[in-house]
Amino acid sequence: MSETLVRFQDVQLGYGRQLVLEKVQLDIFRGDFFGLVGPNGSGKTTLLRCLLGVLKPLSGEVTRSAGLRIGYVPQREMLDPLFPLSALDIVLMGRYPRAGILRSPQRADRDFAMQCLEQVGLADSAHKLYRELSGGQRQRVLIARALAVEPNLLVLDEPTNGLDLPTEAAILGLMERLHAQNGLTIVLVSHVLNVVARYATRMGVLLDGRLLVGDAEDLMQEQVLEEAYGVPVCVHRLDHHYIVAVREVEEACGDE
Amino acid sequence: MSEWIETWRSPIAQDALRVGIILAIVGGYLGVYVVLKRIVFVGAALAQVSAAGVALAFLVGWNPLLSATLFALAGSLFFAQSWGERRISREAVIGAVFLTFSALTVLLASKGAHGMEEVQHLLAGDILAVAPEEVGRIWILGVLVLVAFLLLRKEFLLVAFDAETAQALGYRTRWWEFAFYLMLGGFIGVVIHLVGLVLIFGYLVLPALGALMLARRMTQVVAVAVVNALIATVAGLLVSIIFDLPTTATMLVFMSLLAGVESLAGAFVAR
Repeated sequence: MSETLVRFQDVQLGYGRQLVLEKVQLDIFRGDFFGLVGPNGSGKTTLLRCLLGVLKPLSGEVTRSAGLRIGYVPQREMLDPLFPLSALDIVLMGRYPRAGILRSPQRADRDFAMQCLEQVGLADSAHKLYRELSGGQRQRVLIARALAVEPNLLVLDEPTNGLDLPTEAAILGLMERLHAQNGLTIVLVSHVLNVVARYATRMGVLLDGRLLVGDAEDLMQEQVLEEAYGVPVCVHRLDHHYIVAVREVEEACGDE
Repeated sequence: MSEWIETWRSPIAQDALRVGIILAIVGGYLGVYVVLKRIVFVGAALAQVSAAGVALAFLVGWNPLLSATLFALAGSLFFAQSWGERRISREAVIGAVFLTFSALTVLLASKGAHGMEEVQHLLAGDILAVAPEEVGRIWILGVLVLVAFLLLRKEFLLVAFDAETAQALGYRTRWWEFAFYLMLGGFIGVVIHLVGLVLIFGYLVLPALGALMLARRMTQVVAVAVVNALIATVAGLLVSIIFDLPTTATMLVFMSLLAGVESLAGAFVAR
């Protein structure tokens, strides 16, 4: 059995008196590619914040393995492009905790940040302003920053939002490579079921304030998804890809 | 000509210049973060809260410096709170604080010994009226804020740019926010009763605006903002002496002119 990096034991999550998720049981194992899906407002962000250690559980226990370092990739829409920061400046932020308070990142940190940019294929754009980069390039910068933390767990929040098809495939390909070649444990949060089911080795589906955990094959079932999303769906499998469609839309397409 | 040279060399003008230089450096630097964090009106509201503190001090006979600083620190604590998702926007609360404390300032000052004259002084201020013994105090505070800010700049930058990731990296963003507002509020609180609300607000907004349009890197932006503020201070003081104009307004006009010219230059270069 692989080492458990993070364990949620009977965790309840919420804000003040508002309960968002209950009885969460979840283990993130070293080497996992875990996908978290659920409709808007189902509690994905709440669970993510708890995983990051930003939100304390209302009850239950969250344990993290000693020496756990999380590299976090936020939704890029959350970041303000007004800041005059280059790609390298942003990646260097991942080295700040190592540099410590009152000290600036050193030359070695700069070199490491450059290596991270190289890893995501953006070394040539290191000195370009973040605001001048495309959506896909910005996403790569944020992934490079998360890698600069030297993480053993990489957490990505909706990394393919607003990206065109080739860019989305490139970002997910990069994730797959980091997982396969570097052995990096990945938690991918997304509302795009097909994407998560394609890449994740294990999945979590948020359903009525509960978290169902299992293999993609177990969870990519019409009954589970219909219950989670509240609409009738069809699930098809084509090679390693899942295709999920809302039934009415599929029927309408079929009529044409 | 010799008359204005004499005025320029006078201790009053030289003290104003010394105060203006440290205000320009600290205000220009902090202003970059104020503009980037999109909290321009928090600066104005904090200044207004401090002004009410001064008005109250004049009315009840407290030390205006202490009162303004305490009010500013209380305001900082309030604004440093994370807003999250609430039923009203942060902007609306900033507006409400600004209006409430503007009204309070007028009411308190109207019952003070000098009446509306005090309000006028708090709003417009007069850098030429700074007492010589205040100059050293302002410099000490300014240098302290500047050194603290320089030492903690990377943490302030990370929290301002991406608070969520900062939290994930283990930074207590609420404390860092409070530290930022503490410096901002403390700075405003100490200098407001000396140079007025409008000039402080000007230093926190205008030099950074032009710098952000013109420069492309954070260090360049800070450098240009500080230089803008210094040029406007020296030029504004000099021109106001030569043409016998109100000093604060003249300085602000120079700040606006620089911001305008740099915005145009920045837009032209970006094409």
